[in-house]
Amino acid sequence: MKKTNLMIAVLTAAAAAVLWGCNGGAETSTENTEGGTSTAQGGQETVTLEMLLCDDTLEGGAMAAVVEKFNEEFKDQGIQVEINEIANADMPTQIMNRASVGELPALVKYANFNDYIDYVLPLDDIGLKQEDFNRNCTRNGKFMATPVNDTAVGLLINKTAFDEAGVSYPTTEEERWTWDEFIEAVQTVVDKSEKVTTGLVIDHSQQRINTVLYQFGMQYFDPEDSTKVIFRSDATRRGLEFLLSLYEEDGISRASVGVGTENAQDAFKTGTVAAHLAGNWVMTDYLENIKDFEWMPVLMPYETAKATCLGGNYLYAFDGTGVEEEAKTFIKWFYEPENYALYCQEGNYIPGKKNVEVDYKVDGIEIFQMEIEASIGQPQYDSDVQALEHSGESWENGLRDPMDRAIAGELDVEGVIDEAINNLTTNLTGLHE
Amino acid sequence: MGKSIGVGSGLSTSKKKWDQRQLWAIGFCLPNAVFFLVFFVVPAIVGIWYSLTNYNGLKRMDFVGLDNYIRLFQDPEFYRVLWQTVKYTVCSVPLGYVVSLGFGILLSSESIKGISILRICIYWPILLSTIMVGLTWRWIFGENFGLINYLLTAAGLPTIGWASDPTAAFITTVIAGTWSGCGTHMMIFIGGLKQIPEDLKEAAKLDGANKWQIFRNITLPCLKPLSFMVIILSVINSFKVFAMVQTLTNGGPGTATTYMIQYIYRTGFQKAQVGYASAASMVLFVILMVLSIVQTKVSSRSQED
Repeated sequence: MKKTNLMIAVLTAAAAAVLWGCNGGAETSTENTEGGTSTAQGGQETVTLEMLLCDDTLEGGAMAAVVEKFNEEFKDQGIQVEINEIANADMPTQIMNRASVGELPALVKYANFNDYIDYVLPLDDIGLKQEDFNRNCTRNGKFMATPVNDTAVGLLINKTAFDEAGVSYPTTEEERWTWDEFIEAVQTVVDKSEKVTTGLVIDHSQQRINTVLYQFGMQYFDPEDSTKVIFRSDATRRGLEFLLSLYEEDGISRASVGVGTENAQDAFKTGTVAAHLAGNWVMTDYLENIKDFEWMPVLMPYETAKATCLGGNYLYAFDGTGVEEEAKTFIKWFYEPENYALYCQEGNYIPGKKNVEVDYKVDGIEIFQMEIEASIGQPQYDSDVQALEHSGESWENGLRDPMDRAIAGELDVEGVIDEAINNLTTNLTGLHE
Repeated sequence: MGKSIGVGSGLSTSKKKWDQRQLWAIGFCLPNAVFFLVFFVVPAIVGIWYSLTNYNGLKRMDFVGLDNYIRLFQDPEFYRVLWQTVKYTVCSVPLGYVVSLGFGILLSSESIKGISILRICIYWPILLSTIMVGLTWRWIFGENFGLINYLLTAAGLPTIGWASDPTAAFITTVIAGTWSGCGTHMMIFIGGLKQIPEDLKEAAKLDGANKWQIFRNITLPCLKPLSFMVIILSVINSFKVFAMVQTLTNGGPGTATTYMIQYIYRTGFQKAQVGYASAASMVLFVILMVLSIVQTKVSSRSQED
């Protein structure tokens, strides 16, 4: 009997030890909050804010540079920021999982805040206003996030290859190519160059596909009725046929890049590609990593319209982390002119905030700004409809996925249109054809 | 008669107070039981609950009954992905079985010099993460920068669209899956081969049997229980293949190499339809359970014969 009792006691103690271990043990000097940690140092409480982001290193480490400046300035004021950089593709999974267990980070820099709107901290009381920014971040009357940088789609060329082939390229509106002229130009470059084997690579991105389709006159939503989807049109068909023709056997692009198995940015850096349809943020990477040929941004071709799609990241804070005030302090400090200009300069970003003077390290940003100024309004209208009328809903890659299948030969143009509209109307509520 | 005695004795034992040995036995089983409950049973129950809701991974979670299952069974993409997974299983499991048995036979003899190093070489992929396996083969099968296409070009042959041709991409997943899985199965077969009594083989030789006849009539039947285990594990693993394919082809081109787990991952996390993805997980669970039961029945029947 005694032995039995002893054994029960041993087992209970073992189980308790396991459970205690799972609980993380006792905290001594550090107290965990959801979005950061509080540490007592010499009587001064220091709050460390976690900032979740992706691609900062790839884009030149601009946020890391600004955070370093903040940490230096605030080391005696009890606030520090710690960057947690993860892969872009893991951001939705990370945010969703952490939201479900109540461990969201204090700050986030990411291209999407609409999907997480229920958790986002309103920023109405920190002196920043919607009117100060290019993109609309007001939801249900509250200013929720700050567009930390804008991204425009544009075209970058292998300048060395174009010059060697004696092919000119457009840097003014008058010189802008049509798509047919562009294909002829890059074909000449490929024919005359020993190294260049591919005319054009396009990022595996719905925003890039949209940009080309808008240039052919595609529209997602009826400008008179935002609930009506008008994607099924001759303009869309022409645009899709053109895009798919790029990936055919005699096309100017590579199917492996079109379906995303190979990376367009990596392909361009090898010097075997004449042109890259990309976001302006690739320039920082190219500036640092392309040494054996010259490159430059030029104006994009057009068909019936000049168009670019604006995207970019948002800086925002999560509610319920216990460190909301400190997170607001960081955001307020971040948008002080000197700090924000440093961020844009380090990453060669187009500012998301108006009236910011930036001394860029790289030439050519003005080409992207010209694209923004020349663009038709439909891309922004479609973007606003999705952001403002379908906040919290997502049709993530609903066009890119059927395009991948079409490039692989699984779908034709009508199939792409059917699947894209199905994805759109299934995932965003209240829409009809 | 034997059964009635067993039941009777069991009932009489249960009435007695548990003795010390039983408590020790329970004590040793307890950690495993707790682990199983916490990490398998509870998540499975939560998964069933999710599959009956429209949970988006965040705050929305309304009960929708069997809506997710109804949608799933009406979704042509689900059937396409399921069919692709079955194709992958049908190709990779027999190939994996033959390759691992072949290596097992080749490397079961201790008389070969450097046998341990050869075994380590074959087993080595098991020590790699499946993500590394995918990345390694991605470099080998890269369409524009890959090793194989480089060699083909150097030999003056046309290159293969490993990344853009659906059939070629499918083949890359089968090859990479087989390569990464055959090490463990080879070790299992080596263990099994060493257990086969040499007298049997020698007797067969004396009776005039050739090597093929010995293999067919002695080696294979002796390996039947192990073969069953290897096949059932391979089927389950191939239905659950994910990280290797995610890094090798990312499910492409298009959706040509999108298998069940990747479909569930994309639906749940990228499209924020956790409820719907949970329903797909439950269907996969039922499929694997049915397959396991059928294989167990077939195996036990063939052993009785």
